[in-house]
Amino acid sequence: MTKAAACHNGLPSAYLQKLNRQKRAPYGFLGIFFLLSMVPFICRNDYYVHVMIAIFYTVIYTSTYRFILRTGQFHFGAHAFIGIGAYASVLLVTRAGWSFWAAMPAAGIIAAVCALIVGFPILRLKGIYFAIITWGLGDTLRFVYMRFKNPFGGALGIFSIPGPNPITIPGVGVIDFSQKSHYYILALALMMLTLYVLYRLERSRIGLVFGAIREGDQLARAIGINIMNYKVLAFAVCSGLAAMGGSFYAHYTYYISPQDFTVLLTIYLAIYTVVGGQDSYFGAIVGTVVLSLAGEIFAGYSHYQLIMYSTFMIVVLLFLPQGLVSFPRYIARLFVGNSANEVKGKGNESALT
Amino acid sequence: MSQLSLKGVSKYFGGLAAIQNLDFEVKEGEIRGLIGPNGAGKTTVFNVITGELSPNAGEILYAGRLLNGLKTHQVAKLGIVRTYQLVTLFSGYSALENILVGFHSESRFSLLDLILGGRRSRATDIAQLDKAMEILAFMGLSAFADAQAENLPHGLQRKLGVAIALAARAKVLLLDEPLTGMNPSEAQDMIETIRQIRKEYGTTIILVEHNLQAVMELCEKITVINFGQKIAEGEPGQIKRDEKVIEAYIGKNAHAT
Repeated sequence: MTKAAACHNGLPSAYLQKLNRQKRAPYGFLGIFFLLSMVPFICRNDYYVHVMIAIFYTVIYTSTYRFILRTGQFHFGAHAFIGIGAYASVLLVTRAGWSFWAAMPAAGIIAAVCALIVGFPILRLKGIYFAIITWGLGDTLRFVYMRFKNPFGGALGIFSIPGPNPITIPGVGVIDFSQKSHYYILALALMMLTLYVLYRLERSRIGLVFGAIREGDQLARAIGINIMNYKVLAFAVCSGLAAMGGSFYAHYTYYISPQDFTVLLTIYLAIYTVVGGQDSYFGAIVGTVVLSLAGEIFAGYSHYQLIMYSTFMIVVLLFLPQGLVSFPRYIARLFVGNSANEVKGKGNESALT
Repeated sequence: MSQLSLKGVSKYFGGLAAIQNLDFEVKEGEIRGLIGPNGAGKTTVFNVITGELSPNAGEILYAGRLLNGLKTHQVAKLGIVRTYQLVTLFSGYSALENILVGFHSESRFSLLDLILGGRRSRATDIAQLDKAMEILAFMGLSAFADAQAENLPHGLQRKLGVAIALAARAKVLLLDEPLTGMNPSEAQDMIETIRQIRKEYGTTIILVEHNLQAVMELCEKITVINFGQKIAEGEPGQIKRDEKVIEAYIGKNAHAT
């Protein structure tokens, strides 16, 4: 520790600052959790609370999706693992009589193990090949759900899924999920947990290695980094977290069917990620929030909804190839003048992948 | 007792023999030069040792262990780390972060601990920071710890490349033309650094280099290859006078006249 203290006055100031920021991060996450958790008690409109809940679980999907994308794999089967999470958790509750509180993490673990098993062979594939096989995986599962009426309920899906079991939180009272606000808190907690795990995966020592693999995989190998292990790790952890989101979704809507887990879901996640800006940790969050809200706002103009939605997307990608998160920088550039090379440098990449 | 040995190693690209029946042995703590005219197969030797290419014939032994068939990252884990002809760094990272990546294998992390970011994880962070600063200081790069790797001058980038290999605990360091593109004072500095690395860490060093003067100055023993075959091996003094070597570099007629 003494030497580290010496570093304080000495040189690696930037890195030490980073470490200190990481040390404070949990408090930041907790703070945001408490701030957001007040919303349903201030705004008692069920519709708004519902929109927020939908945004929360979608942020779980999008952020985990983005992390897999960032390991260089063009993932097209997020819906497969979200579906596994939803079906596993529902079946554990309705058939095996488990409590939701055991079934949700179990669903996450089941999906992570599935990702681990398929990950080793398929993560060797790159680009379009990986996209096709993950897409195939997701749609195969969808046909399995449709074909086997017995556990999966067939094409009609599973109805009247019970909500989470009531729990008693000391000091707060009984939470029985009779109100939207209860779901809101659960979704928020799940999202913050996911975001914290992803934050650690991205900013900690292991994040340094993930970044290094992206910066130069040849050198990474030459200094002994087993790239495959890292990719499989990211794939499994992210799929598991997304599956917990899927589990929440099932017990929130009380109804799931194979139609909930089509490739369209993954395509939406890809759009949210790219529009938000995949280079940034916040990109997936911003993309999800803005586009979900845009979808809700344009929903009033039913005939024009899709046109407005697509136009918005195209405009963003044209002017902000690094996504919505680069908007402040874009504005700054308008006023300060050209530091354009920076934006040009990375723009192509984010627009393409 | 040799630490690294190649026995009858051959590598063909189609009909072309990049290396043919090559034997050579390197002792622990030795600085070995590997020279030869352009296209002689020097870099291919490195690629075959590190598992980036698999040899068509022959055995590669490291401390009595067969390396054939191992993947690059496995070879690196055993302690054979290389640098590249073209500067290869994690260019978007600061110099310090480049070194920290080199430590990746040391942090035998529990994933849970890392994700929770608890006290133990933080202690490792600080310990690694100290060690990284030591390596940077050793390489004379302390002042550039926070500088982005791609913004460093060429000579320092080369040094950083070597520093990453040190962080990855290289026991055998394969340096592919470490002096390329350096001015004489940078080159002299690098030569001194290489000597220091051997002295401080006891690292075995194999050096591919076109700057023959530097090779003669630095290496105890030199292996010369041409067209993928070994044509001479010995101390610098011997190599300088070796007829086959002179022939390979200058040509037969020139020597005759």
